[in-house]
Amino acid sequence: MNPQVFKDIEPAQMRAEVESYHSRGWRFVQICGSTLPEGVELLYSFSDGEPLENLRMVVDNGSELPSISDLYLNAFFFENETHDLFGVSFKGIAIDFGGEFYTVSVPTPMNPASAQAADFLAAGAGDTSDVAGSGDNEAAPDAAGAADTTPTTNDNPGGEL
Amino acid sequence: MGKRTVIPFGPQHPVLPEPVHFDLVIEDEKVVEAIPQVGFIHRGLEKLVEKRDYQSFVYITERICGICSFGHSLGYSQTIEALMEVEVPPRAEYLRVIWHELSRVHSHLLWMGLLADAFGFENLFMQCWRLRERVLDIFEQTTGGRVILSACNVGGVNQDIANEDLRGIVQVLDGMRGEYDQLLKTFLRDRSVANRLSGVGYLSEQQAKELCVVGPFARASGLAEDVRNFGYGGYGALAAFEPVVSTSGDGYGRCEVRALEVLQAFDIVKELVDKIPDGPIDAKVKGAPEAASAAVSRLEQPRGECFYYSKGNGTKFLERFRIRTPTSQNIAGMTITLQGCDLADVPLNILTIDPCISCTER
Repeated sequence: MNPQVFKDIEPAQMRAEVESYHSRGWRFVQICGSTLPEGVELLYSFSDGEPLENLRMVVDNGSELPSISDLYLNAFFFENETHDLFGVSFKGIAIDFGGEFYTVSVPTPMNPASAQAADFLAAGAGDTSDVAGSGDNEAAPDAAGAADTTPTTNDNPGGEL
Repeated sequence: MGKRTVIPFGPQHPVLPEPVHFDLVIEDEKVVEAIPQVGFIHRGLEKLVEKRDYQSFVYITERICGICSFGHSLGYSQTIEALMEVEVPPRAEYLRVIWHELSRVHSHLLWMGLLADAFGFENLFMQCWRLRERVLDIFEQTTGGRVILSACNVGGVNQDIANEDLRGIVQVLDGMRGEYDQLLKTFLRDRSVANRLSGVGYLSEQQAKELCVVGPFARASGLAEDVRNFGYGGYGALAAFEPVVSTSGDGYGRCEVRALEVLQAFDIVKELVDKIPDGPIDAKVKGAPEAASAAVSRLEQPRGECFYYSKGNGTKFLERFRIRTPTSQNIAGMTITLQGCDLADVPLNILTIDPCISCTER
């Protein structure tokens, strides 16, 4: 049976906790967002062989957290994903796609209460109940516009390895 | 110093069947930097837990990926069983591992064929896929499906395999072994194959650890990380398990690890068929996950560790389900292996990591 270890923390403690795992040589596993009535629950998972621990915190909609991709480069994938699907922002992502990581028809489809989704609805950009056929919606990210969607790197921390 | 040029690679490329894009910064035919881009086929399958109850969602998980199909249904079921504290009958645990290891065989043979095709060895490609057909035939005979097996459910499996049929599977694998040894000799000892793979996409053990890569990608760099080592489920019945590890850290090492894991999978299936107990194959699961309950699970898929997370809300519909696939964990490592790589080696380099974008985007 997989170990079930969940540690509830405050968002302000997150960076220090992650630095602790990093300094002890634990492997970063993933970041998962879940929508709650009061915001977004984030789950950060770390492993050291068989031991697996999960940090759980609740952040408000529209919150900004420090990125951990300077410690664990592969966190850039999950931070961009959490931004695009849940509307949580991360400061200093190693490879920041600026909201163009996933091609989705509506902003933050996993969190309809996010600020981005509210702006989208306020602009009258479309009926979100029928997103399947709205691939050409004006508000959707333009995947073909490579010049506009090329992600930016922040000091390329991976290159120093 | 030559002029730097940015070359777009993908999302459509003849070598890669799935859409992944790289902006390759090139200088003198060498890659200086590679910036990855996925997101072309995000399907939002995790969101479907709001529309399908936890029992029927297993059929959605099987459709996340055509190669890791059975593994995803197994990983999902394990997570729900942890969430609801369900005890799975031993025979079901053994059958699950048998099907899962056969999936590993067919996944690795498929990858080996694609690799041979990528470096221009057409005959080797066809021989790999010809052997793979035998595994798909076993799937068809035991479950009725060749790709989507629909054999795993929450609480166990929904189809048994008679003991004489299990011995028949071992005979098929024994018959494959002789032919597979010839393929193995070509992959691991043929000079032209070694010339094409050695030194391509090197990743040191230290880099692999820092970048948190998983699966054969990590094991080829000397990290003995394998979830099967923890003895979860039917793997606990194995007398011994030792991950296949290589220290070369390059494309050849990744090929070596996967090639030897096929033999390891043969041995696991044979050992479990010898030991499988009689008994029920399914535990009755009733009710719904409790509100605010949460559980995680890990499974060693052919491409590496896969992480599953489920959260209940007191109804038969889950509050949240999450899959973190091996490829999403390996993309950072992939970008590092591309740095310094010859432009001509980029497709082969990406292929040695065996990315699965369908899994990754779910």
